[in-house]
Order: sequence, then C-alpha cells, then structure tokens
Amino acid sequence: MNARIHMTKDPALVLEGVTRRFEDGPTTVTALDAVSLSVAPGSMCALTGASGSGKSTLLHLAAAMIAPTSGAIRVGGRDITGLDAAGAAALRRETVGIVFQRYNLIPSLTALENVTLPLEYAGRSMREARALGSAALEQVGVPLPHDRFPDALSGGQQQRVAIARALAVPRSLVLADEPTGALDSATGDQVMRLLVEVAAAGAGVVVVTHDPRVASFADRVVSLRDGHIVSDSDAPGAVVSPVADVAAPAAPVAP
Amino acid sequence: MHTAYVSVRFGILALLEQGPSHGYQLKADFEARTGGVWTVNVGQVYSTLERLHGEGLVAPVEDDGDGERRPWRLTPEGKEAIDAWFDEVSVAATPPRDELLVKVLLALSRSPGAALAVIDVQRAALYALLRDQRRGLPGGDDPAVVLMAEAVAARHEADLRWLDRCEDMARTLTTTPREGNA
Repeated sequence: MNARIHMTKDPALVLEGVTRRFEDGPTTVTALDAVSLSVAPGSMCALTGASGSGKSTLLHLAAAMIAPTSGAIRVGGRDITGLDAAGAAALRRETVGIVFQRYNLIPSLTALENVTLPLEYAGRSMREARALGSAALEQVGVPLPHDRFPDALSGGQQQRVAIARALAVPRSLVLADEPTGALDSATGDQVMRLLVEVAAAGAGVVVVTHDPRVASFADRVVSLRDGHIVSDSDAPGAVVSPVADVAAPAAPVAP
Repeated sequence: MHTAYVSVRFGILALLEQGPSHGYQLKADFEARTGGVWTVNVGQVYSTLERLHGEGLVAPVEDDGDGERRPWRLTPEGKEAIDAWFDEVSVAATPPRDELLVKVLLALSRSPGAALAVIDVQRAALYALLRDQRRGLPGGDDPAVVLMAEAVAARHEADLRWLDRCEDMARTLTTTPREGNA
C-alpha cells in the first residue's frame, strides 16, 4: 500500500489542549476537556471509552467536522484549527480518510463509482479516478467485478469498498469510527488487519471502538472518560501496579 | 495447582492412547499439542506416571527395563478413564477468585473514585499485554498454537469487558456530574 500513503515525519495527528463544549439547553456540556494527544505516522491508536466519554467528539475534531472551542489541532504538521467549511472539505478529500461503522456507500452507485465519485469531485479526470479506484478496490481485496451495487456485496465487502474510498488517494491520517461494528467477528478481524496494513504503510490510523478485540489490533489504546484521557497503554508512568497481577491467565498456564 | 495436575494427568493418558511412549517424549508431545505455551516439568511427568501406574491406568512396556527411557502403555482401565474424561463437562462452576477481580472489588469498597483509578491502571496494562500478545502471535498454521493464543486473548478481552462494566457501576456510584459551567 506504499503508493497510497503520504509519508511524513510530523505526527499524523496532534491535539494540544483541545477543549470542545456543546450547548445543551441551558447547560454547557464539556465533551472534551483540555486533551492533548499525538499519533505517530505508521501507527494505530485506538480510542475507547463509554458513550459520552468524548471519543467520537475527538474523531470529529480530527476530521474537521467540528471546530474546537479552544486548543490546536494539527494533521501532518498542518494546523487545521481555523479551517472554514471549504478548507475542511478539501482536507477530507486530500489528506484525511474516514471509515464509518455503516459504510455510508451510495446504494445507486456501483462499488467502483462509490470510490471514484469523491475523486472526480476533487478534480481528477474520470479516467484517472477509475484507475485509482480500481487499484484501491483490488488492494483491499474487493473481488471482481467492481461494477456491482452495494446491496450485492456482503457487509465485509461493503466495508472494504468504504476503506478503498478512504484510501484511493494518499492519506496521512485515517479515522475509523467503529469500523467493525456491523460485521461478524471473523470479517471484523479481516477489516482490522487491513487497517493494520494501512498503518504499517505509513499512515496514522485512529480507531474509535468499544470492543477490546478491535482495540487489541492497535499499537496503543487510549481510554477517555468525561472528556479526559484516563489511561494510555503507551504511558509507562500510568501503570503503577505490577502488570504481573493481570498477566497470568487463570487456568491454562502451569507455573 | 489442582487444575494443572488434572490436565497433565489426562494429557498423559490421551497421548498414551496413541501408542506407548516414555517420559521425556510425553513432556515434549504434551507441550507441542497444547500450543507450546504450557511448560511441564519432566519430573512432574515421571511422578504422574508413577501415580497412574499405582492406580493401574498405565503399565510399563514389558521388555524394556531401562529407567528414564522406559516406555509406558495405556491399560484397558486407563482407556476407560480417558474416555470418561473426554465425555465429562469441563466448565468450572466455582466463581473466579483471581487477583484482578479482588483488587477492583476491594477498591470499590474504598470508594468509587478509588475503583476508577484501579480500573484505569489495570485497563492500560491489559491493553498493552493484549497488544504484545497479538504481535507475538506465531504466523504458523499449527491449530494448537493458534487456538491457545486465541484462548489467552479471549480471557484478556473478557477482563477488559468486565472492567467496562465495573467502570459503569463505579460511575453510577459517583455523584459528581461533569457538566461544565462556561
């Protein structure tokens, strides 16, 4: 997948003291409270936490779908904090790929057209878009023919089409929101292995999930609660009690 | 450990069902067929063989008296014992009493906040463990190795899901809503 990933030495994603508040009637809810996080290129970071913990807010901020109340966000070294709507749309066309839980494919378009449409919006010729789209579909293992409509594809294949759409142009950051949520566990594992490959090829990948199995594919797991990071599998200082306590499986390993 | 003894005992019987074998070979075969993560002391194999001999479940192969290399075979009584073991249900009915559970539950009895702090630390450690375990997954196609690794991962995942439930519970016990005032 080397050709599709934009390599960079800057972190794929940086949040610096990012706060996001939402008005909820008379009260203000702080969804994210002065959170700082850096995701290295070539790595996968899983975000876990209960609903309302702030993990989806973080993902939406990284995709420039919403703006922070305060703090700074950088994608591949570029400050995206103050982007207007057009700039945000361009960021998602060119730099940040997004994979949703429910695929969000357009049912009246074929698998290939779903991948090429955003490329054509981005100004690529139809011929170039088709070449990129076919290559991306092949790379993620969507079987031929690629002119089938989404309802003729299995859930796993539809999610592969969605990943191909997210990766058809080089990406330095890929965001995935419960990417296996609608899949059985074997198909979910395949999708996660695909995202691991995307990270191995140089992109930063951020996966929001509540499923420990999905999170186990990540290099790093960050847990959020009430808008704060409460644990980070990469932060050695956070682990103050012996890992050996939880390391020993109860039955299968004899001393 | 009782469970480990039982498993080695029936592991030896199951291996001997496939033909006579001697102590060291039994140790090696047992380890290979349980995914290579379970080390058995060869002394434990010899003492288990002696015990099985005393119960009449195994017997030395007659014409070979050489100590450590002495091959053993399954007796008809041993064959009955291994058949019965495979038919038995092996689901533990006793509640789990491992240290993680006890630690979280005792922390909860101190305060919900203490429980959350313990949960956060244990969760980070479990995720790191699970990641290392998945990275260390042997690429091979030995089903025993693959399935043993899945068994270990499934237990970690179950612990993590349980920690999520503990967090929900601890949070309902805290009385500090986190609504901002801006």
